[in-house]
Amino acid sequence: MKWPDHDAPPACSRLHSWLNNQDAKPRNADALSAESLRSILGAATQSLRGARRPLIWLESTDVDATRAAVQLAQNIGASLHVARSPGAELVGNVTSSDGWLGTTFAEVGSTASLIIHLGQQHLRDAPLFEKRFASPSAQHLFLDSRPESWMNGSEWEAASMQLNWTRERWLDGLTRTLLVLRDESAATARPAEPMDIEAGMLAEMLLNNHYSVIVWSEDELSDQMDELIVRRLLELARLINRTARCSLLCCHQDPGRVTAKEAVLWLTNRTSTIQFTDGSWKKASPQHRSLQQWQDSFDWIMCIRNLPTDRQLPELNFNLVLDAHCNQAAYPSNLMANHSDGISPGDQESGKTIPVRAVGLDTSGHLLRTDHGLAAMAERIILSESHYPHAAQVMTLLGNELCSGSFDSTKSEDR
Amino acid sequence: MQTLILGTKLVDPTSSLNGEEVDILIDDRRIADIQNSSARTKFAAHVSIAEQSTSVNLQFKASKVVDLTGCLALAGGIDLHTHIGGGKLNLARLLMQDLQGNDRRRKDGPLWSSVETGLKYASMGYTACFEPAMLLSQARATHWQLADTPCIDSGAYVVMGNEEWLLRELTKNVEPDQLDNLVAWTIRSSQALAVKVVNAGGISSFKFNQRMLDVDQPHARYGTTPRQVLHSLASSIDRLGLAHPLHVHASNLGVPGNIRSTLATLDAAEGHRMHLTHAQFNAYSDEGPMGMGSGAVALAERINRSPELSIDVGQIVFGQTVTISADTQAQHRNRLHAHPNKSIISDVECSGGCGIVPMRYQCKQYVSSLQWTIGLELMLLIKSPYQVLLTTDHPNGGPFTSYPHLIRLLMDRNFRQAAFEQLHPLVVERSLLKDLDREYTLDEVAILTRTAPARLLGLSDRGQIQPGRLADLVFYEPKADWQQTFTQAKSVWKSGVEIMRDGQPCETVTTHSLHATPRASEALSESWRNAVEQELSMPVTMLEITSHEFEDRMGQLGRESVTAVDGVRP
Repeated sequence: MKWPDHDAPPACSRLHSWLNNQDAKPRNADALSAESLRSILGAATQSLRGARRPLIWLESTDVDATRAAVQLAQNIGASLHVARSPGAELVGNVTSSDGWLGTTFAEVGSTASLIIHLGQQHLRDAPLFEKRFASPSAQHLFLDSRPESWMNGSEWEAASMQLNWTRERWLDGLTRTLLVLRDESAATARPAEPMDIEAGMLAEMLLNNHYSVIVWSEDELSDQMDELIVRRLLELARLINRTARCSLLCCHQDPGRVTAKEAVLWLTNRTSTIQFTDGSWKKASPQHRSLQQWQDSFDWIMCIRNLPTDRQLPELNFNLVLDAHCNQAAYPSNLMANHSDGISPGDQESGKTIPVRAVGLDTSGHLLRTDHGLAAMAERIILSESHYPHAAQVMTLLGNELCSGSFDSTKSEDR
Repeated sequence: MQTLILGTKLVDPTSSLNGEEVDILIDDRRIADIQNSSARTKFAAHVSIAEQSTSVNLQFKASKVVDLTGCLALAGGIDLHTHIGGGKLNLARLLMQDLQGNDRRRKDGPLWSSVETGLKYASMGYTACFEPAMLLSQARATHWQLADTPCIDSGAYVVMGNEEWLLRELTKNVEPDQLDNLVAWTIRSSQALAVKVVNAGGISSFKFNQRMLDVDQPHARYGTTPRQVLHSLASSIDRLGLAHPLHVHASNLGVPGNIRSTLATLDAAEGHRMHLTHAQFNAYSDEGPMGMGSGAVALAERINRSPELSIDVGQIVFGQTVTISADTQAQHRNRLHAHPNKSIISDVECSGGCGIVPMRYQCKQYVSSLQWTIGLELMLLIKSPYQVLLTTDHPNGGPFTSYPHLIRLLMDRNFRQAAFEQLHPLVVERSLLKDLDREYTLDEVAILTRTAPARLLGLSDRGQIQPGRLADLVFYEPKADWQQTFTQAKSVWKSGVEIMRDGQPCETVTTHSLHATPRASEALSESWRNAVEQELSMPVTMLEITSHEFEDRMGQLGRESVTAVDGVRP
């Protein structure tokens, strides 16, 4: 079965060199037959008709898939949830409650005179960060160890230094730095330790640089206790900004999640988890103590991921999964390049999974960059007719199926 | 299909039938004919309105007749400055999650989803709204968000004047055609309708730790002054033949005494057209209690003697709101007044910024009271309604849903005086508002909410009820006061389709994304391209939204892309 182009600009001219660079393997191009699609959708529709509390889980989606999901959730009275990592949730919570001091990749490359790295994960998540934005003309300070490639005579060696604060000592070190900046360190009435001296040095560096950026990966600070570190960082940046400039940059890993969050915000005015009731979107479901308890509060769950990622889908009992179907998961190099081994077809439960076009691989899509800095069009990079529909097309089909059938919207207790 | 609307009182001071009861014939998307209703009663005076309709229907051969007898007929409202799209709005939504709907003065707001925003605007009778601060790097997200705003046509102004590449080159006396090349490329690449300058050079200078940047003060890194930036861009806009003048958010926003830099900003235009936006926030003297007073008289005098200048007011409304601006320098100062105490400040892609500060304007507080009076003073002191437009700079001064209240304040002196007496006593004592007797007429309201913004934006297809114009029409049922009248239209028509009746959506209609095509159409010169790519570390093609992409995308989103170039200059 061939699907009409949902959104098909010309193929990227750098296709071949890009694929070579990525060492892409041939895709598993099993066609999605009309019969399979009908069968899976039919079963899903059937189970959805009997559902009282359905949930649509956005795992990683482009703008169009997100729009379609919001529309579907509104029509069927489902709850809508945008997946986010614990680290992204933590930053979101701090931003919502206290605000933020932020910056973007280009500012780091062009303006920053001091870049403070919390860990090295962000350099691995976004390999182009180092090449494009971490200029050796700026000073670099790693709170723990430097990457090996930054030493041994590299151009980075002279520009970078490290504090040897192990991760467990970050909170302590940052707190001491804050005390120095507030001129309260003397008031603690304890003898100065080596860490105080380093904290003093860090404070001095921050004050003496016209524009400092503190950068980390969302996965670097993701424990509940890490919220304290994030709050310290914000406090530190605020204090520095009284006299110099300092900004924070938490690099998110997945543009699909960033995009889903943003599109849901403008379409509903809410962050997840939400539900459309009484004519408007409201925060859904009270707090649950565990993922299991939360899952149990829904009786039908659909998951959408049309941007390939290497994450395993959450262990929820999905009734329907729309998943980008490819061996070599990748999204366009003109964002922040990222790639993974992808999900194997074996991971997907047969009869419940509908393969959909992979954004950036066999369809274009609109994505926001992981620093929220640039809304970009992910170009289609394989010029061939796709065997798979776009996730938005499947959701439209599902919506039509429900409307045309005997779907009873009054069945749902929360609709 | 032709539709005939019967018996409405025309409110369009540009029409020879203004004030008369008319029948309006709509053919497809446009107004086909307007006739005095007396022509109808002449031959059918003794029969019922239904029979009259039949007669007229035969006369006009309309396939549908709608009786709106007794309603006021106005062109669709146009808001030329309202923050309804872009990444900054989403950040504000995130920051305001816990405050939504908590203000006792308002049932909800001050932010809504894009869908609700479109419906609320349409319900009040607005059919076109413009996002005034689109960053080049955020252009796609802004347009897609605007396209998800139903019922209204929209467009956006691209923010310039703080790009590192521009500031650097301006110190080298860049040639006019070179500058025009960059400006035209920026407009085309972002599919913008106009160009806005936000605190010329100030956002960039804040990154180099300058906390203020006056009009003649050099940028710490590049040495460029805001005056240079403003003059260069205002003259480029005129050379490129853009309908809308340079849209200027002036320096020192919110600072007592900023009236001096505001007047200097207007002087920097040196005869070129300029539109000063949310002027209230830039009309403060440093005289008076707490070192702050009104600069409205000085600004109004300047506008009254300069037909090439215009302003929108940025009126504040009491209650909780959130301020959103690309002006990080100003917002970093304003964070000290945040209510509740939180803020977001972010630098964005070497060309702009984003500052979000929640704010609560209180009528018993001196500064809020003063701001309220300054906005109204400007509206009442500037003589021509073509030069002063009603905005709240949504949501900065308050939500756009307060327009009906503000219209009543302008039209009803007694109502205004009653509200005025509730203000801080020092403001009541000193403000000249109590001596301003002017009451806006209905015609003037039609101009400042319809005709004037259409002219200023070069949208000659709307803002008036004339044959050949778009059938963007609004019908209001007269009620006990003007606020009630304008709060909810009886019937709203967009491109010849009734989209709203008594606040309830009717039919859907294809809306439009309006953008400009500047005269210079060459590709970006190599020197500019190198400069941009060096700063952003990416190819400029990543930023460019081609016409092909834009039209395709708008089509997918159920919109049409329309080039608005045939400007009628005020």
